[in-house]
Amino acid sequence: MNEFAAPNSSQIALVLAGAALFLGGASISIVRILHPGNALRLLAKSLDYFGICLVLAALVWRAVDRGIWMPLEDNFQTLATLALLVAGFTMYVQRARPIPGLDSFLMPMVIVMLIYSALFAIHHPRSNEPSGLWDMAHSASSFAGAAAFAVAAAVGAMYLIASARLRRKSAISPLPGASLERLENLTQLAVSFGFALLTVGIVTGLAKVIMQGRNTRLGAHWMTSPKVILAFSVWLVYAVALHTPITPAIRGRKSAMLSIVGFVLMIATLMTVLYMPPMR
Amino acid sequence: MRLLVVGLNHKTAPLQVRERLAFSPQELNAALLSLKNRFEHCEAALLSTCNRVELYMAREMHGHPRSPQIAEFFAENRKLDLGEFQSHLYEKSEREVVAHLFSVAASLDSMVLGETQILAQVREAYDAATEAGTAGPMLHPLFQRAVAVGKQVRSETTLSEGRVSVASVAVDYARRIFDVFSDKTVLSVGAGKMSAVVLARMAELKPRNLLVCNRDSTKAETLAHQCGGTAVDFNRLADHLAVADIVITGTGSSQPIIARAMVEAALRRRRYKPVFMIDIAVPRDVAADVAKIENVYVYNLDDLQQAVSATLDSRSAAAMQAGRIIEDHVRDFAAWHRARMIGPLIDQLYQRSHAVAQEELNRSIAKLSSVSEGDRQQLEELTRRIVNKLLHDPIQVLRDTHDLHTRMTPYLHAVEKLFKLEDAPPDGERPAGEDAKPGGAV
Repeated sequence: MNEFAAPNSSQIALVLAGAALFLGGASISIVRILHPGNALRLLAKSLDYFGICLVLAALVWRAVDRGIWMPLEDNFQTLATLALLVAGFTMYVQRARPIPGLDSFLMPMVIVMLIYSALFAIHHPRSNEPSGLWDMAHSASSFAGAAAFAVAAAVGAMYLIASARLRRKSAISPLPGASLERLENLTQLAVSFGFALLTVGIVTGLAKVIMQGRNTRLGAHWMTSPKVILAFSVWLVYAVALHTPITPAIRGRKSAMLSIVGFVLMIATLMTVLYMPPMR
Repeated sequence: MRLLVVGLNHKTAPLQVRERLAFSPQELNAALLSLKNRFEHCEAALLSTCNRVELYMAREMHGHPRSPQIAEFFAENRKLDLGEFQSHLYEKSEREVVAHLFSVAASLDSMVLGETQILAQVREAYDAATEAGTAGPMLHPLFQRAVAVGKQVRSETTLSEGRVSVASVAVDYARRIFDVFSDKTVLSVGAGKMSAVVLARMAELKPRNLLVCNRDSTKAETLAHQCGGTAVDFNRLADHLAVADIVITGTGSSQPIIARAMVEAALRRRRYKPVFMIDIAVPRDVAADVAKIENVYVYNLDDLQQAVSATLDSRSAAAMQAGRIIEDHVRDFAAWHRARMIGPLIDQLYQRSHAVAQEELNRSIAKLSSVSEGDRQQLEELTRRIVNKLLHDPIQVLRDTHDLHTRMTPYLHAVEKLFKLEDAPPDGERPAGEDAKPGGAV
């Protein structure tokens, strides 16, 4: 295994360029709400695809450099991968069955993640290399779950706004918008995926901790560590959000709010992981 | 006669005020007759729609009722306190009334610019007044002209073309709530015209079920047949609400028929799936507090119409064209009214002046020793010419008071006073014993 080395400035520049392109795409999407046009749509789409290519190139370059193809080796790669997953999902939905405005909600998250990834690489580069199959499964499922929760939170926020507009009886925008039913279904779908992945992440994490025993970086009192408590809180919140088929009274706005609360806790968990001391 | 209108509309009063003041078609006749009994010599027509309640009147210049009395009439008839609606009332008189009614008939004053229903409603108000015997020589031509103006605006402008209707807006909102309609149920409570229009638009979404329930089951079956739906029992409304995703209500009930408790119970039974309620009834069928329930989206007529009006900027050119048509008709009507008022007065003035001249001529001829028949004819011709020349200018001024902002009334008063014409009524309409004054001019 290579000695850990921080990402080079070109890789960081690629990620920042990707963030800039996503920023351009998101800005054009907002302009399109007021001035709809095919040329703007194509321009926004091109910028987003180009942004995905740049971030992907940075990750591949980093993987080639390090000789490790699991893109979760350090906090730079982890956040960039997460951003790439969210951006990829957004582009997929917008291609398959577009939801007007979805990119305006999700792309800002992508941009923030990419900027943080660059900041970590510059100021706080730290190895997070998965050690063994359990660790790899734990990291992959947890971060994929976080990406699904990001989508759920964004769509949940869209639901709350759309619902509030309908309650305020605001005039209907000339642009087609997603219905509450579709936003609710998409939130539920994203939460379901995220919940399943998070469950796998928690189970594999537990297995890893049990196997590592006292050597775990969470320490001997791992059960009371912030990461574990937060991860369980996230799991509980999403369990409640997924409860709507059994307790339908929490469907709609309450469920959307839970998906946002869960994501805030997820970010806190992620921050705890990213700032945690490196493995011994 | 003096024309006036007192009323309120969607611009001056919210729905909760309008619905309390509204008259159903069945109540119009009794209301007009009660007004006629109280104010015998006035003409009246009552226009009551979802968006307005207006009482059009023609009365003696200094006669009754005045606007406070009309407000009291509304209060007594609707069993309301004056304070509940008085601040929302407006009053227009004379020429403004003509311009207002023509604008109303042309749907320029409607919340949904270009909507066509108002023309039928103006005609119905006129028919009701005719039936009640409260339309007279002033309101007959006024309303007939208003209907003609409405038709002309509709046929000669694009105001009604491609309009966004309440029904289409309701469908747009339904699309903002639901994604798929093939598993949805639409319920229409009521089987009136508006319900039929909205239900027909909802049917285009191809929902799984279309249910129609109405107190009169025959009407429900007819509408259900038209829309390819099923007529259901009105007495089981609570059960139907539990399965309905979209509810259209448009009954003529004076009280809400869908209460909060009923909707809450239905929502529990349908596992809190969202419900879209379109209340197009005035007074409302859905209790106001139903809108506060989570996952229930209630839109009343005002909400839908406001959404419609927000999309109508593109019709300003057609509205301007309609405005010009209305202006022409108002001018024509004013000229007609003026001629109607001024003609008898001019006749009187001529007759009186010629009578005075003839009297003085006869007196002078009697004092002369010998006047041949030819001389007598010459003198009579001379006096006639003098009278005609003297009256020519003042009468011309009277006839020419037709510019838009000149009121004829002061001139008529002056002529009556100056030439002492007050004793004899200028036209045959004034009842004996009334304080005879020249009519107000439009």
